[in-house]
Amino acid sequence: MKLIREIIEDETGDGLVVYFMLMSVISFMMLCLMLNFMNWNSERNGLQIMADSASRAGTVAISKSYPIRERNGHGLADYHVYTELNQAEAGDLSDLVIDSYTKKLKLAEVTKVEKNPIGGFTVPVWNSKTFQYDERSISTQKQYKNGNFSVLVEGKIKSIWPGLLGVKEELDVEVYSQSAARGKVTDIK
Amino acid sequence: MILRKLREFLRDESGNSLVTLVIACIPMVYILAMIISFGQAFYGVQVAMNASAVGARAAALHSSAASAYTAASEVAKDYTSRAGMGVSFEADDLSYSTWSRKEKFEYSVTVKVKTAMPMNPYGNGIRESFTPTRGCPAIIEGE
Repeated sequence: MKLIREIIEDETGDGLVVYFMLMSVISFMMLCLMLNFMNWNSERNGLQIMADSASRAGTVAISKSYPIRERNGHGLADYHVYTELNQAEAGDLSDLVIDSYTKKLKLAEVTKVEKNPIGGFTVPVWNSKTFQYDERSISTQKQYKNGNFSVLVEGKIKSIWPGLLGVKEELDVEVYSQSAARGKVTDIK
Repeated sequence: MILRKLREFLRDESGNSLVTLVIACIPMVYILAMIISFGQAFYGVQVAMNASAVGARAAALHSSAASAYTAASEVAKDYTSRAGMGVSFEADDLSYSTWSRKEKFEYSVTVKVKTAMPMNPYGNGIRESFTPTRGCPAIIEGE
C-alpha cells in the first residue's frame, strides 16, 4: 500500500497524465472512425444484396420471347432475343423484395429507387448463323424487351456517434444492380 | 544468508515496473479479446448475410420447395465452410407460402462464430460463441 501511495503521490507521472489524456482522445477518434467505416461497409453491402435480389426479381416477369432477323456482315442472321419483360410487373416484383428488405434495415434507409435508370446496355444475343452469342448494343426502349432489368437504389446510412469529431450525421450511398433474363428462348430455327 | 537475500529481494523497489505491467496486462488482454471477438462477430454477420444471398439465389431457380431448400443449404454450407475465422454453419430456414413462380420467399442463415479468446469470468464477459442470423428475400423463378 505504501508503495502504491508513493507511486500515486510522486510527481513522476505528470507527463503520463497529459500523455494518457492525449492518447485517450486519439484512441476514441480512431475507434469512432473504425466503427463508422465498419457500419458503412456493412450497411452498403446489405443494400447491394437487396439491389441484386430486386433486379433479379424483376427479370422473372417474362411474358414472351421471340426471334428477330437482322442484316449483319455475312448477310441475314437470326437473332433470338431472349425474352420480353413486362415492365410494370417487373417493377412490382422488385418492389416486393425491396419492401421486405427495408423493413429490417436499422441504421440505413432507402430514399429513392429507380428501375432501369440507365439505357444503352450491351447485351449478348444468339446468332444462329455463327452459333454463338454476339454483343449488341440496344436502346433503352428495347432494353425491357430483351429481358434486362436494373435497379438503382439511393439511400442514407446513419453514423455512429454523429457530429462527434467531424463524423457526418448521414452518409449518402448509391447502389446499382442489373440482371439479364436468360433462357426462355422459344422458336429456335 | 539465503533468507536475507530473499527478504531483500522482496523488500527492494526494483520490481515496481513489473508489478505495474502485470496489473496493466489484465485489462489490456481483456481489451484485446474484446477487439478480436468484435471483429469475429462482425465478420460472422457479413458471412451470414452473403450466405443467405447466395442460398436465396440458388433456391429461386427450383420448382419445388424441397429441392430449393436442399440447393440453398448446400450452397450456404459451402460458402460458410470457406469463411474461416471461427465461423461455421449453424442453421438455415426457408420461409414461403405456396412455392409458386413470382412469389416472394426468404432464405435465412444462422452461423456460429466461435470466439478466439472467450473471457467470461462473471457471466457478462465475452461469450464463447455468437450466432448471428441474416435473411435475404427473393422471387421464385422456377416453373
